[in-house]
Amino acid sequence: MTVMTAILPLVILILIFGVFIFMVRLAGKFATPKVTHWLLFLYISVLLLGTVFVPFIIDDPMSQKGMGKVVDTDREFSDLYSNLNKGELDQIDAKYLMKESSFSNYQNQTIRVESSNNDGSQILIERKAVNDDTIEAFIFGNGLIIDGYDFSRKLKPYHLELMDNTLTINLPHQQDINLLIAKADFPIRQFTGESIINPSFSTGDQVVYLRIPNNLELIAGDHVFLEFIEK
Amino acid sequence: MRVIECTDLTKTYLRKIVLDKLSFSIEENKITGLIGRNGVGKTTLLKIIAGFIKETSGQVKVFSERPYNNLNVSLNSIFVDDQMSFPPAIPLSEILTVAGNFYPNWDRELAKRLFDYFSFDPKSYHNRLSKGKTSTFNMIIGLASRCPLTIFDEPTTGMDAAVRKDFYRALLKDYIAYPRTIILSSHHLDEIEDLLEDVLLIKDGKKQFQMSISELKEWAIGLKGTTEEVLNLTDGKEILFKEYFGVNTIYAVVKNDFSEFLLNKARLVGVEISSVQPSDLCVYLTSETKGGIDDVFNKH
Amino acid sequence: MSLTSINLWETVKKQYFFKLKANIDAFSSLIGIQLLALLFSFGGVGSVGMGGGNFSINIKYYSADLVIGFTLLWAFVTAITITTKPYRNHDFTFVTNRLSSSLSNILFLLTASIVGSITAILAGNLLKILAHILLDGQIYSINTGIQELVMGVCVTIFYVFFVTSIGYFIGTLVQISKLFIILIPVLFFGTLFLDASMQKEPFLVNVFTFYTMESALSLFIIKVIVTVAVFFTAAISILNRMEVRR
Repeated sequence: MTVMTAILPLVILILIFGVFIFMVRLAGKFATPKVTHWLLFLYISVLLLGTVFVPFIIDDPMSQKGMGKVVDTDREFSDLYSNLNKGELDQIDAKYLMKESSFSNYQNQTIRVESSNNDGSQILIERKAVNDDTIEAFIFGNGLIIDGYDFSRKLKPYHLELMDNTLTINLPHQQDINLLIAKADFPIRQFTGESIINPSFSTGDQVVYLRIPNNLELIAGDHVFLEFIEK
Repeated sequence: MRVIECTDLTKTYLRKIVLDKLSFSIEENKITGLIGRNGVGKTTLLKIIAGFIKETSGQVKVFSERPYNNLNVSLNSIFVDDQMSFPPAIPLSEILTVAGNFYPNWDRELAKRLFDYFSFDPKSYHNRLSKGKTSTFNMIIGLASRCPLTIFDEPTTGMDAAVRKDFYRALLKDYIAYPRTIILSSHHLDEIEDLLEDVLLIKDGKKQFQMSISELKEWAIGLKGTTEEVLNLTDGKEILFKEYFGVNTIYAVVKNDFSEFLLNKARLVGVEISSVQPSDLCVYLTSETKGGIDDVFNKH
Repeated sequence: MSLTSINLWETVKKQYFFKLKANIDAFSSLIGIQLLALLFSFGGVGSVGMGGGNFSINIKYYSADLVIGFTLLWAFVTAITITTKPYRNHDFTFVTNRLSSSLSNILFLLTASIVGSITAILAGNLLKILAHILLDGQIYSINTGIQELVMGVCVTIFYVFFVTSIGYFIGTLVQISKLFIILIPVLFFGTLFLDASMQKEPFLVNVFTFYTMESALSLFIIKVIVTVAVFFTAAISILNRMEVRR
């Protein structure tokens, strides 16, 4: 891709020049060329070249991992949350899982859970049946759905840090996501029914789901609210 | 065949009558001069013939059809004046090409040669030409198109004397080689006298007369002599023009219906007999003022 | 000299090619206007922002909408221009009658609509490339099928041609009397404000949505074709009575 971007401008220039000269020769038989004719040919050449190169620079989210358009975002969200609350992680679509990690060999009897999020993130706790000294952590996000397409991979998940006996949930630094989206023009939209702005957003919330050993005692830090899952 | 036939042609603008029941006809393949004072309706008449303007009443027939909105009349006629407009975006050489596309009789060679003769730049544009050059270029289009009806309305506006001479000569030569019906409206009757075959004189929107140039040359007679003798001779006739010289000499113009005998008698008495130039005659016939310009400067 | 005859269609054809040459500057102004539209589209033709907590999203939408809008404006002005006296007089220097003059004008406007529409839609592609290069962002696109491209161009041609018919008609009205220059804007804005003040949806808005909200392609085409025919026919019959002063 980098080689491409390097020679691209040169290729463009040569191609424009070539098409340009050809068209001028052709039109010279029709009428005496004026400045306007040169301008027209130049412009059309540039446009044609642009059209040719456009597929190379466009990123089509549809081709990403075969993800299709999400049609009914509301229903999907409610499914997600109900599955989370029931602890049925297998039912949840892989795209909602942002990060998976585990902390093994945790010997302590208690663990303190802190969060740097003053608003209080949602933390779900599932007590395992066994005491294997392992804490499995899953971070689920409700994704980033824009115009029905999935941009979840743009979001940075929370960062879990285990130090001594404190598990800290760190929010990533301020995340500013800028997206450039190409939309269809209004003559096309008139018949496909799209609208120019389709705010089918999600809020970018994330849920921390912890599977803890059976006997582990949890101490909630400030602003931390732990929800226990009854399986 | 009558190329143009007008019967009781009337044209009014708001409440002014410009053409008043004008009736005349023009035969095929003749050069006719359309003469008259400024504002007498010459241009209006020509524009009606060309189909630009509608008649208010009466009948106009060009090639036996009504010229207004008529494709066939438009194809076989061309109207050349100094207002001939060309798109500013097309250079001169291309205008010639365009004209060739429209007119079936267009002579490309002639147009090119005239174009070069008058030193036009193929790449320049019509709206940048000087007045004289504009008229010259328009004239080239008019000539090279070889339309069966070619109308020139004051075609020599702005042309210098040399170019005017060239124009008349070119017109005559091409007309002889390729005859067509030509109407020439001009103020310089004296210059085009030798070119014309017929003259159509318009006064006050009406036809004053239409006759051949040779007839016109003989139509009136100029008498110069003592006041008594001249007034004697012209008694009962309409004096078209008179001018005083010195104390007792007068020059008068009257219609020439004198017998040879009377003229000889006049010569014996000392009256000078001269022919009257058509251009002067037309001026006298169309004059609207009584007396001459000198009267403006004479004290009462 | 023997007389030749000609039929309407031949005259229209000759005039059409003549007008392509004569009005070539209309196309250079098309380019200028589209480049201007591209400039304005640079920050996106629409944008949405959202934020919450430590995370914000800013989306810029890119499409050829603005370029199409400017092209519509250009088409409108071009149509009015060719009804003015100097342009009508050009025809009468050569072979014409009033019907052929209008027909060749319509053909020219159709050509202009086609050229304008194709360049407008393609300019949308150019916009995406420029945004990618100069704003250094990845562009995401939802649908780029050939079928949609072709349909987009066709529908745009209909819109642009529609606008030219309105312009031609208005230009013709103005030729009848200069009063229309005042009358038409007064009527236009007058009905807009009057209806709005009476809390009624303005008549013109209803007219607008009649065309733009039509989601059935065949109905849309019929609506546009009929309207265009009405406007052009009206203009032709008016121009047919007009004298040419030259």
